Amino acid sequence: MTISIRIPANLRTLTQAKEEVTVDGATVRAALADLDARYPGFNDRLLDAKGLKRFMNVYLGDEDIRFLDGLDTPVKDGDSLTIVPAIAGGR
Amino acid sequence: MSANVLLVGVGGIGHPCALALATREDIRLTLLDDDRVERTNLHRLLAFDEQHVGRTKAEALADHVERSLGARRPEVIVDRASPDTVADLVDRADVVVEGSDNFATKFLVADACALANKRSVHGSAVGWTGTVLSVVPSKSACYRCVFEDVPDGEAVDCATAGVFAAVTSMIGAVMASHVRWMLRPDAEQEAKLSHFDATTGMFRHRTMKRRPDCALCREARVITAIDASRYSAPLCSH
Repeated sequence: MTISIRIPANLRTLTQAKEEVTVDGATVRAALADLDARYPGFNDRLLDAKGLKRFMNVYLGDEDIRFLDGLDTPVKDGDSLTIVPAIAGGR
Repeated sequence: MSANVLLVGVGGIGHPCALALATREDIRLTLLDDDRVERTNLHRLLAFDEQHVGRTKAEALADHVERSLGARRPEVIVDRASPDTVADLVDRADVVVEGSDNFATKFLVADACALANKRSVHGSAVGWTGTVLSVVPSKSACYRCVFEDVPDGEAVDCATAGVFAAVTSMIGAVMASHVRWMLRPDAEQEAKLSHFDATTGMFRHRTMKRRPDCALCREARVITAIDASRYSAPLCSH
């Protein structure tokens, strides 16, 4: 099950500047676990004890996974995940 | 009849947004910011030069709008949004444009807009990316539906990352276009999140859904008034 994940610019230090990476997994949770296995550091940036950190959004296609089954949302071969963190800046 | 548009923060993203709206005869601008122009800001404050260094951003921008653009002078408030002042500030506006550089102010303004039933446009720019979120209260997803609560210090903000000047200009321009959309009587009642990535030059636009358990905008809401303790992060400058 090959899933692509678009990485936000501020997290590309973890992916050697890659904008998009591919991972394996049958759910969003599994895909993110594989992301962390391949590019260590993502678990700490994305997840806490309750699941997805409250200022992190993950989209399956154009759907926020919170409105699907959260981290247990099934994914299929060719699906695309996008990570969108809350940001503050513009001084 | 003119619409009153309050800009909370006229720095890197509020500045180009204000310029894009300044000559519209159907808009009256109010500029809220107590920050001063620094030499290191000049590359993203496009209307300013060395002569403006040290002046308040809001006053200097109002002068530019009036003298150089020949447009109606915006009202200027040299201050910042605080839990004590935000309700009065928001009350006078038809649309609030929030371009502050810290999460505490973002959530404070978002909460005040929702409580006062005011439409709002929220913008951010950090590094190579920027986002714009437009909110129609009671109809669309609110800021807390999307970002939930003030981050605990791990999120990217003004203190942890720089910003590419082209991103601030782009985000300011998009915010202005969202304001125009917000003022249309037939505007769709949906929150729109625009996300720009300068490393690819790509925009993505998403319609955001309301969070069923949102603390601000749903039936079970717990935020019914501005409580300063909710905005505990430092209120740094815009």
